[in-house]
Amino acid sequence: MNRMRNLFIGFFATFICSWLGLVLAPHIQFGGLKEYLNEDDNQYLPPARTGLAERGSQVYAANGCIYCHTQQVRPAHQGYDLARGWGARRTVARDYIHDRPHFLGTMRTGPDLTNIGHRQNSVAWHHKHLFAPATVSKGSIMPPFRYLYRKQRIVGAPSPDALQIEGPDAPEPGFEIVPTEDAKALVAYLVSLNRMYPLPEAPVDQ
Amino acid sequence: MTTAYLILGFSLVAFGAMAVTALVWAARAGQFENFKAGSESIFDSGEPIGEPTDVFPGMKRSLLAGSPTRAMKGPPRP
Amino acid sequence: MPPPTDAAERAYIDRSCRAPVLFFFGSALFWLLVGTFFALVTSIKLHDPEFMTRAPLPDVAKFQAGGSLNANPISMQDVGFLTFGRFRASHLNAVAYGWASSAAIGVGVWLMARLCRVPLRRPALVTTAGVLWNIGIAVGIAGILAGQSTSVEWLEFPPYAALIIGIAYAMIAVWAVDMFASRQCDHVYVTLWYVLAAFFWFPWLYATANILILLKPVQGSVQAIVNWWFGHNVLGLWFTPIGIGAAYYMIPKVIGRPIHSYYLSAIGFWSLALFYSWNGGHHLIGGPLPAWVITASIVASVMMVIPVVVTAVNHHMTMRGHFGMLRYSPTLRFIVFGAMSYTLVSLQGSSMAIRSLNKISHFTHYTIGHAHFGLYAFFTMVMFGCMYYIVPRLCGCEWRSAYLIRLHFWAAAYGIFFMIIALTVGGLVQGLMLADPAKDFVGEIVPMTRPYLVGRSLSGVLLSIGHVVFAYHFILMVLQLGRREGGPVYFNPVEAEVRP
Repeated sequence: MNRMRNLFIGFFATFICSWLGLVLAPHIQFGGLKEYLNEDDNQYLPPARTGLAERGSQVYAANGCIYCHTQQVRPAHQGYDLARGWGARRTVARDYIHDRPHFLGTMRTGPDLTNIGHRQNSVAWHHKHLFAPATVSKGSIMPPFRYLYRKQRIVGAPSPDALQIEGPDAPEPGFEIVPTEDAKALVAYLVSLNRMYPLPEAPVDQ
Repeated sequence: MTTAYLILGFSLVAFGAMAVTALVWAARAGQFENFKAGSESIFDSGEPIGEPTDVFPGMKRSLLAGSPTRAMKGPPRP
Repeated sequence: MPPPTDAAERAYIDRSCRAPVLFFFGSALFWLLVGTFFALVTSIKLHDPEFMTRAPLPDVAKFQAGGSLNANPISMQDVGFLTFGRFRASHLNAVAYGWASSAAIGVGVWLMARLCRVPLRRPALVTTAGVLWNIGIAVGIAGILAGQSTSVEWLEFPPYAALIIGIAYAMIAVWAVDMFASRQCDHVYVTLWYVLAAFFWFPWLYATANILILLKPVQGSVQAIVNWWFGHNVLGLWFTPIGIGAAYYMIPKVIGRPIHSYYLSAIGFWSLALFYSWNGGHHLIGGPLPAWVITASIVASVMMVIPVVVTAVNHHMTMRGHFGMLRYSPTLRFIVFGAMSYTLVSLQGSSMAIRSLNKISHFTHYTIGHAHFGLYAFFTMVMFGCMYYIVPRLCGCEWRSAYLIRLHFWAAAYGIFFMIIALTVGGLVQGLMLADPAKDFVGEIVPMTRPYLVGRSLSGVLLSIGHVVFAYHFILMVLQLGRREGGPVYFNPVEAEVRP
């Protein structure tokens, strides 16, 4: 049994080493970050999300948006992110304290979304884009998210949030396309993605 | 920050100590002796060294059995 | 009743593994086919987004508007479960947990029985764990398709499915310790170190990651590092030890020659355990984490050169002078292909952790190519090789057709070769174009990557052919339709005993 015990001590020792270094130490060092209070305008950064946007982040998770979109801006010396206009500064740990789960991502089949709410804040555009991506972004290979929308018969006046769709995707006369609650939440989340504000550890002029 | 460094320092020391202990144990327990016997421990009288144990189905066993080197290296050199 | 000879004892031990190991292999192949289907559809969706987005369902809008179901019963409707993001997650989980892990458990169980030199203990425990494991995966994939993915890479299964899988795995770990404690061997062969360590590490990894990310989540950026500490350790401390451990047994066994340097294999094991476990942070280079975390991982990634070169040298020196055997042994062919891929993919991985290359390769198809290089060209090929060796010894008959084995090998080898080329070249071009801010994202870069993505789908068709062929061949074996006449396999103790 002596040998077995020693073998297991070895397995344990090598493993605990990385556990301490890559799990526990990061958690102790930056796992308890708080919002930063900007004294100029009395605003907490990063700003808390609205309930609808929070729900939208769950729609973002459920439909696997992270497989094509990152939400991280690397510093200028570590990539082209700033040069492409995807942010005003690199992102830091504090930017993500509200994220559950994290959406850093590992792939850019599509562009980075760290600040998509800053680049494109039109709710109507996002709905149209989710419904039929190639119609507003020619050449896009983003999958259509038509299943987040509902076709319904127009009763009386058309709904105010009905999508303005032309061409082959347009509904039959007498019908309209309206976003489901999931689509509304997702768009609220996308529009809320805006990390252009400066933080003490990551000033904008960096 | 300081706590993190403390933990890192502690884990480095603890880890180093464990590594040294493991090494001393391994040397004492004879893990560094007789490597030949260790590497040969997967062979026995039924599947001895020098005898391949896998060929494509249908291939003649005589191709390999008894003359593994020939089968492995091709026809014997004159 | 002590078995009379070494050969008979071995045959007896092999037979004792029969039901649980064949169950794990069978379910592994089932999930391989399922995962391949998800993979093909996902791959096609990436260059053709309208592919398979609709399913036949009643048209609710027309029905509500007063139409009758009879007049307009079924039409093609957009559905969520067919969307790219859910299919991609299903693919990863079906192949990583369904295929690769099930195959790894099957191979690991068999190796443990052989190397401990005891008949399989508690087969019911192993089989029960296998059943639970399969239930967990089926529930998990259904959850992902239904829109309950956690969206954490490598941990997409909803917590309820992860719990089932965790329990199943803990059962395997308990079984492994019990098995090891009752071993009858004089010497703990190096393969046993690898297998035992893998069985011990994985449950810990899986539990830690699930707890810290899903059940009691830590803050965003810490989640990311825990995520990749886990994600990379699934490869480094679970698949790699099983794959390398199996190669350390199979190569010497098949060619009938002891491993070149047993000393090197021990060095390789401990350096792998030490360095691989620190690699995770290299997935977050440039990310929102303190520099020390990233730098530690980069250093560890480069240090991986040590165990990799040690293993490569050792396998090569063992094989030296025996490469001709590749023509005769299906097992050796697959395993040597896998072992060589291990060397290449690991060195590629070390280079990808270096900041200057990572700047370009990060976030591109280059990384996807690397992942398939590791999990398919290395691990999956080694598992195929092991199965070609193990299954006849469990079923007591020989593989039916050498032609089917060759077809499987070449479909897999060419398929994965073309896939890696397409993704690596496509990824490099993509990375270089991204680095030039003047290149328009949707207008220039996306159209450029499309041909490479089509190429990847085509290579996937080749892989699928190999998988279907192998699954068919495996079913023949399980149905006892293999060859009966004398073969090279010593599964028959009577025959073994009469040998001079």
